[in-house]
Amino acid sequence: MLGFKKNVFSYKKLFIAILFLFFLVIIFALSTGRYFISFSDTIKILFSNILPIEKTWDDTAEGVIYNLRFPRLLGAILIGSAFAISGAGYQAVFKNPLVSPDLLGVSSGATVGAALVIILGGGKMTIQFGAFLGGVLAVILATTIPRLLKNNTMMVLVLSGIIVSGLMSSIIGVIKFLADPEDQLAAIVYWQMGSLAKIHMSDIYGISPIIVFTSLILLAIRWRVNILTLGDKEAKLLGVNVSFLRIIIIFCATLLTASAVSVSGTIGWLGLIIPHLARLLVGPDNTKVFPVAIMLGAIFLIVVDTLARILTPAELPLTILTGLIGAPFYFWLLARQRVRL
Amino acid sequence: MLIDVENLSFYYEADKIIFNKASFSLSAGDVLTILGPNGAGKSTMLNCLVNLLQAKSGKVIINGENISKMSIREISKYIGYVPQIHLPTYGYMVREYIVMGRASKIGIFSKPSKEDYFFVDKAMEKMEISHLAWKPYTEISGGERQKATIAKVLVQEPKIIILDEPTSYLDYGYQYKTINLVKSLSEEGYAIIMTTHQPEHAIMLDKYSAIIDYNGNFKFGESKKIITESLLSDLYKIKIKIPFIESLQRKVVCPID
Repeated sequence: MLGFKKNVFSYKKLFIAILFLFFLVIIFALSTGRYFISFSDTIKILFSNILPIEKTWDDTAEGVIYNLRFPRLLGAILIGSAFAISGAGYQAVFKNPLVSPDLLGVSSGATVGAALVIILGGGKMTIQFGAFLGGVLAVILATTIPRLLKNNTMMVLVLSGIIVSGLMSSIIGVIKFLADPEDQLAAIVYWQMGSLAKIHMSDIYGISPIIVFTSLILLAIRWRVNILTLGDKEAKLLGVNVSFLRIIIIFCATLLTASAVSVSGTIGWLGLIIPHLARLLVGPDNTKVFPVAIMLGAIFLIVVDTLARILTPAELPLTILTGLIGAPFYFWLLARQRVRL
Repeated sequence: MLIDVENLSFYYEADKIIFNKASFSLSAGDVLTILGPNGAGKSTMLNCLVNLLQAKSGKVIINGENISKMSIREISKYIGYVPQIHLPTYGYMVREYIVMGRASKIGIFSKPSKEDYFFVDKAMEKMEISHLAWKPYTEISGGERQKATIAKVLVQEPKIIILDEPTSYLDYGYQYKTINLVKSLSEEGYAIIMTTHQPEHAIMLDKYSAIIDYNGNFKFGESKKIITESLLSDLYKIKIKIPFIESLQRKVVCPID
C-alpha cells in the first residue's frame, strides 16, 4: 500500500513539473524571435488581460505577441498534442510501441490531397481541406481492405496500411512529376516538411473543435485502452467490445492527425517518440500516458517551432528539426531501455 | 447445472472433424480436465465454450441460457479465462494488470475505483503476490505471472474458470503447485475446466476428465473410470502403465519402453 501512495504522488509531482515546463516554454516562445521581448514584459503582457498591471511595454511588443507569435503558439500546442496522443492511441491499438500515427496512411493520404490541390491551383483553405479529406479517405481505404478480404486480423490491417501508404507515395510521385517545378513542386516539398510559419488564427478556429473533442474522447476512454493491449482474445473474455473500442481509437486518432497535418503539413517523429518518452516517465499505464503525452507533445512542438524561427534567417521546415532532435533522442531512449520495448 | 454442453461439434472442413457431439455438465466445485494429443482440438473446444468460435452444431448452456445468445459482457460475468502464459508488449505493474479483470464492471468512460482495487489487493493476498504489486508484469517469473493472471480472473468474479494448459512453460514445482491451486479453487466453489498434456493431473484432481482424440471422438466421465492404461496408450501412441502406489495412496502414470 505504501508503494501505491508513493507512485501516485510521484505522478502528480511529475505532472506539476511538466505544467511548469509548459509555462516556461510558452514564455520563451512568445519572447524570442527577431524582435526580442524581455521575459518579464511577456509575462506582464499576458496577464494584463486579467490583472490590472501598469503598462511598461510598447505597443509593438503587444502586437508581436498577439498577432504574430500567439497564433503559432496555439498551433504548436494543438498540433503537437494531437500528434502525440494519436501516436499513443495507435501504439495501444496495434500493441506495438514502434508504430506512428502514419501507419494506416493518414499522412501520405493528406499529402496526396494537399499536392492535388496545389497543382490545381487552389488556395490555402482549399489545400487544408484537401489534406484533411485525403488523410481521412486513406484511412477509410486502409480499414476497408480487411473487410473486403474478410480477414479482420491486425496483421491484415497493418498490411493494408502499407498498401495504402505505398499507393499514396506513388501518386505523390506522379503529382510531383506533373507539377510546375518553379513554384508548385517547391510548395509540395515544403508542405511535406511541415511548418507553422503561415498559420493564422482562422486556422486555429478551424481545427481546434475537432482536436479538442477527439482528444477528450481518447482521454475519457484511456483506461479501457489498456485492456486492448492485452490482445483481442483476453480483452473480449473480460467483456470488452474490442472492435468497437478499436474503431473509436482509430477514428479519433485519424481525425486528430488529419486536422493537424492539414494546417502544418506533415511533421515526422512527434507521434512516434513523444508517447515513448511519456511511457519512460510514467510507465505503460495509458491513464497516465495519454495526459503526459499531450503535454509533452505541446512542449516539444513549441520548442521546435521556436527554434525553426530563430536558428536561421529563413525559416527551417519542422521535420528537419524534429528529425535532427528526434533521431538521436530515440537512440538515447532505446539505449536507456536496452532495447526492451 | 452451471454449464451444460450438449452435442457440441466443430470442424473447419467437413472431412476433418475437430470434435464430434461432445456433451457434459458441470456444477459448482467440479473440475474437468481435458486431455488430448497436440493439435487434437483442446483449445478449439475451450474457444467454443466461451463463444469465441461458433460451434457447428450443439449448444453450450450457462446457468440456463444459451451462450450464443449472450453478449461478451454477460459471458464474462460467468466465465473467467486464463490463457496460456504469454508476454504482453507493455510492462504494466502487476496491480494495474490485475485490475483489468474488473473491466466488465467498469464503465467505458471510467477508471477503476477504490472498491475495484480492494478486490485486487484481496486477490493478490490470496495468490501470495502482494509483494509484486509494483513490479512490471513483464519482469516477474513465469509462475508469478500465472498467479497474477489467475488473480486477474478472480477479481472478475466468475462462476467458471477456464485454464488453457496452465502448467506448460512452468517448472516442475510450479506445475504441481498450480494443480493444488486449481484444486483449492474448486473447493471454493468455482467450476474449473482445464486442458493439460499430463494425464497425471487428471488423476491428482480426481474428478472429471474428457478426452479428445485425433479423429474428433469425445469421451467424458469420472477420471477414475476414464483414465485407463489402454485409453492413454491409444491416445498418445506409447505404452503406458498406471500402477497404484501404496505410499502415495493414488495411481501414477508411467510411460514404459
